[in-house]
Amino acid sequence: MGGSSAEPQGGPGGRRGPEADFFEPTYGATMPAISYAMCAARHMYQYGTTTEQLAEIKVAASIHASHNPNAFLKNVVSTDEVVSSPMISSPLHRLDCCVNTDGGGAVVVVSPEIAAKLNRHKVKILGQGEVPKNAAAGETDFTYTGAVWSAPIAFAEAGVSTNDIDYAGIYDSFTITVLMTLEDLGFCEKGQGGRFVTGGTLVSGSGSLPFNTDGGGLCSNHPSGRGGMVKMIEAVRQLRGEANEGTQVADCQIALAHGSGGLLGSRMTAATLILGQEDS
Amino acid sequence: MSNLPAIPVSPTIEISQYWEAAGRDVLVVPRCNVCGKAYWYPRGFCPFCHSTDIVWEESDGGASIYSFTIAQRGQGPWEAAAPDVVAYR
Repeated sequence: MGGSSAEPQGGPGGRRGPEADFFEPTYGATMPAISYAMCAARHMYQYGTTTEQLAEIKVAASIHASHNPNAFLKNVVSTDEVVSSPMISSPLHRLDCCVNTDGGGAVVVVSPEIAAKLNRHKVKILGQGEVPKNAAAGETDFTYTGAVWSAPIAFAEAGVSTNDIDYAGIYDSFTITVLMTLEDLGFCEKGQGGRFVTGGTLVSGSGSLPFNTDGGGLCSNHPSGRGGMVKMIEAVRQLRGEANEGTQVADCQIALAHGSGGLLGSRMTAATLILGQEDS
Repeated sequence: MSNLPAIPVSPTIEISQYWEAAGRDVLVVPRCNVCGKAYWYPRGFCPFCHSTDIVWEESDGGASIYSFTIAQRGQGPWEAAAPDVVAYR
């Protein structure tokens, strides 16, 4: 949904075609926050999710970012600060939105034979799943993400369940992105994401599902269209025991990284990756 | 509506009827004569059953809102229009 019709902007997510380049921006859906805001509004209407519950996700990310010297936003914020920050596109406030930064990364994937020769703490790919979700010709359901399909594929290949996940890296363009993805990955019942994240569930050291310990897109960095890369990198750091001091998950054996592309409220992709220790 | 941005269009033959109606301030929505479903965005074939037997129906302006947002800002021509409501039905 980038740009005007005169200058279609496909963007790194590859958004091209009549709906993305024309029929959405022409009628006012010009920026990503608008699409995600409509998902949040529908989730609130259908499941009773609250703006304070969404704020819990930002708070957890900010606690983690305070341990990351490279984070774009290093200050811990409160739920009050999130819900009183300026509205961008209702019900999403400024602090429900990710930062916009440069950034990048790379992962090196090698065969078991090469891996055996490397003098480095290795992690193993246990399973992965990738799916698209289309706009359903105008009948889009805003309440779920492609993770409903990518997660079962990845978990089946890995032979593990959500109970086995010690650390979760969840793509976080907005707080609602995390909430819906957590539900769709199976960490809680559909519609219960708000209750699930309440009470510090996502905070490393005290919560049951530490997430985005680098501060994530909400606080650390969000290289446009490449948010999944940093999720993979932080998951590997957790498995290697190399996370920032104060955020390392004790005895981290199995980690999940999840990325989504496109827009939750229209066309999107989802990719779930499950990583484990070399002997897992 | 007149204070909202009007975007220059380059109609294609496939959906010329959509733009011809829009030029008369009428919203038309394509519906498939074979499977009976209405669809969006406008195109010359049904995305559900791939039939090209379609009809352009005039909207009566009524709809149930599925979700909406009040956007406090926008991009391009919509920057000056904010705040504005974007809704999905």
